[in-house]
Amino acid sequence: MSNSKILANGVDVYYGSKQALFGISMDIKEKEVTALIGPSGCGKSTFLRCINRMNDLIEICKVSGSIKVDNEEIISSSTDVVSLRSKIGMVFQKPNPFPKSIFDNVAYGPTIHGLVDSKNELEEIVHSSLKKAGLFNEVKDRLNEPGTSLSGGQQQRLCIARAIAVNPEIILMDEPCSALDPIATAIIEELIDELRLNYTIVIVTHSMQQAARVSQKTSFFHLGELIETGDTKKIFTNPDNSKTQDYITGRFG
Amino acid sequence: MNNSVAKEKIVSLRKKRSLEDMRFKYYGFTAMCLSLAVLVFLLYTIFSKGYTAFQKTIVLLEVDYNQEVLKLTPDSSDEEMEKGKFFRVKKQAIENFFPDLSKSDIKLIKKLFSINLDNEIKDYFLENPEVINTKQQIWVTAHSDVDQLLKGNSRRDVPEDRRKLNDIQLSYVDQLVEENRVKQVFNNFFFTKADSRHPEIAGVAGSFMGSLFTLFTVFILSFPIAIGASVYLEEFAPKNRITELIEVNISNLAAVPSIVFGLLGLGVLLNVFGLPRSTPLVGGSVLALMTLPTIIIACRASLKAVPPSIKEGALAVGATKTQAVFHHVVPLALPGTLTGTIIGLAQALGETAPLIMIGMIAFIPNIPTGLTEPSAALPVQIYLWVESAERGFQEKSAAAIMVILIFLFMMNAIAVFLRNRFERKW
Amino acid sequence: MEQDKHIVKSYDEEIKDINSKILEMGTLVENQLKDSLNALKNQDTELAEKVILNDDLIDDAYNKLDQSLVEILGKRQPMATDLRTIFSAIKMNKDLERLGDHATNIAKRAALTELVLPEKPTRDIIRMGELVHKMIDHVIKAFLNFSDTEAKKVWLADRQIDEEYLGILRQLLTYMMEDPKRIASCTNLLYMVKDLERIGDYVQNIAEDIYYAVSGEPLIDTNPNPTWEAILPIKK
Repeated sequence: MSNSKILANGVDVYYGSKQALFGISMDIKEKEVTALIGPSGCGKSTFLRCINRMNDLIEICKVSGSIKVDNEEIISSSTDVVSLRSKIGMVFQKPNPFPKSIFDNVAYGPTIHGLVDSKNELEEIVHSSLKKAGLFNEVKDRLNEPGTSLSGGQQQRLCIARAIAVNPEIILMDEPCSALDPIATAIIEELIDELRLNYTIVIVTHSMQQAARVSQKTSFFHLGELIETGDTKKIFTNPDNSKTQDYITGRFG
Repeated sequence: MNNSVAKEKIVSLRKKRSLEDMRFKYYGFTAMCLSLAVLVFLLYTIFSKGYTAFQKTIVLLEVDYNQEVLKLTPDSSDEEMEKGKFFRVKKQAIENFFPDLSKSDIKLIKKLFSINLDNEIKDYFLENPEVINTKQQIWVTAHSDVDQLLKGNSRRDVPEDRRKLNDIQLSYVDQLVEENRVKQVFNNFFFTKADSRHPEIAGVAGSFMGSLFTLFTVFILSFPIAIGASVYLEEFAPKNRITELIEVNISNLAAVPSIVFGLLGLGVLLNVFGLPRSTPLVGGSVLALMTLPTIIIACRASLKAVPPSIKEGALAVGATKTQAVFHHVVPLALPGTLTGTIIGLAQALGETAPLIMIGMIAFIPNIPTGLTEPSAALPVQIYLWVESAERGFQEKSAAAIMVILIFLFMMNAIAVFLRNRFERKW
Repeated sequence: MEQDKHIVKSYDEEIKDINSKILEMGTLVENQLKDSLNALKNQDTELAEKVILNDDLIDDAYNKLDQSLVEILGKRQPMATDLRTIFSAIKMNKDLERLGDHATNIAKRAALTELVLPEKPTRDIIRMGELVHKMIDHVIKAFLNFSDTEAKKVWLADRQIDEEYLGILRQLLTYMMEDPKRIASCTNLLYMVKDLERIGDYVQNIAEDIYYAVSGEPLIDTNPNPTWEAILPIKK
């Protein structure tokens, strides 16, 4: 049994006076893919954004409870958000490369964190990140072209490379394939499978098939509550909760 | 309802609807044609009145650079040459302009030349010092009255006492025309000289430079302040009552009449801080205040237009808020901001009222060389010239309008260019 | 059964279609067995031949259901209960088809009229056949009611069949030992009783599938395996 990487306990999230998450407690294991599923507006993305404190961007959003990453509390005003985010990479729903060159996109993180001393080192990091994201062979001849000139799937892999470049331990993915065609999706899924060996991955997805394919653990959210969490195999063949059952069989009404 | 009746109704309604559609298209087309016609009429009036100002009349004058008259020698130094007695050479030249002139005739003939005649004779000599002790045929600027007569702007058939030139002067002008001793050339004075009481040597250079210095001040003051304010309001400020109030008031400020800003400049900058009046520094400061809201609104709009996903991406790799904003958001918002800035500057360029309030309406015959020197500005210059009685200033004001229009057009062209050049598609 | 209330209505329809096809298949097989037993009971060669021909009908129904199942898998990618239901249906289809084959086999043997069958074991076999027939009936009902308890009941009932099977087996062996002339006809009956036993096993499999589809858990036998003591002495 692998160790616990992220430990959430009684996480409540409010948007203004509206409560979005109700006492979420969850244990995310190291070097596993955990899928968060549930209908739109169920709070799965909100929970994901609690993990790297992305919710700070939303002014009216208040988070209480406890989330521990490697036994360190992150829901507190004394948390160093910048170092937290360098430890927890994030990939968004819509590929969002910076309107800069492919190289600069990947180099941005290492540069601002001062991870490199020389140009050669930077180049090495960029190349290895692109290789890990399975993009290097496709773009090695045009690293100076804008990142936005790539196809959707390549852009998403560029964003993954950008996240990997700062050497995180956890990668959060917020519906990374929802804007991609099936082939690009398959490539990303294959990539997630490879990344699992080195990173802890939490992925929000709307596609149950995708959750079933890529994850080891699945958590089902509904109306801001964590209904059920467990082994993916179990959730998709024989869930305990009837709400989970109804959702994954397409009976929600 | 009967099915076929209903169908008929639908068809007739559909016809009516498509007819309405068509009609609306034509209304729009007519409106556009009308505005185009008005614009063309305006431009035509200005150009037809103004284009003659780009030409001046010059007269061939024989000048004898005699060393005794000049009180110079061929070996004189440059300083000595500067002090040469060129007015005596001029006097001689005018006396010999036509053979056998009476004293009263000489007086009349003198009025056919511009007030600048001494300088032109002198400049010719300074450029060609070897002409000493020779007689030179040189082209000199004619008086505005001659200029206007030859351009056909003033009429001969009015009674003599209501004419600038009397009958004798007219006959001399006719004689000159017959002898081909007058011609029309490009009016370089219009672009190189400052304002003057004499139309023939009045130019827009002074007010153009004044406007340029003023705009420079406006840009230096308003651009950084506007960017700072917009970035703060858009990215850092908490969303509460106070910031909301500020936002509303910025929009209100954009609608405040410019004369109010002029009063502010007069009351605060001149009277309280004691800054020099009539200077581009003060004018620019006042116009900067006026332009600020425009730039802030444009800058905030372009900051808002930057997709939040870009900022999120930067934050997610661990950038601080300031890094995310200044590395990613501001560069993307810059083209839009620049466009807004140039539009604001164009607005400032055309502004007259606040400048009148802070004294930039004064008659300044020099070209300013700095921010703290008194100067005019293009729109004020136009206002001054339109006010003037002399015929020669009328075409000048139209020409100055053309200059300001071209200036504006170029600024807008730069704005479009910048937008297309730096605008990113993402 | 819980195949309604999908957001996509046509999905409900498709699952209903699967159900009715399974019911059809079950009915066909049930009748096949019933007719075979009647043919045996009445020594009705004509009926036996009809039963043999009917096997093609079962094959047709099998192919149709198989096709529907593949389509629904590809089209709907079922999850959880739906997935288990479809998966069970695939296995049930196969088992029912095999079951039909065995029923047909009984009819084939019943058609061999030149053999004079001993009365007592034949009667026992027919009784056992009726038990098996009842089991099929129950298992189909369990499927239609989507009930794991009913399925388990059927599953447990197979034990009785096994006992019957051993009893008849012993009887036939005794018959054969007593009078070697009966060996031919007894062997014929031996095959029939074996067929019935196999049918019982298939019904048990189907019951297991239903149980899994409903509960999500495999049906595990907690009781010890029935002993084969009964036939041990003969094995010696």
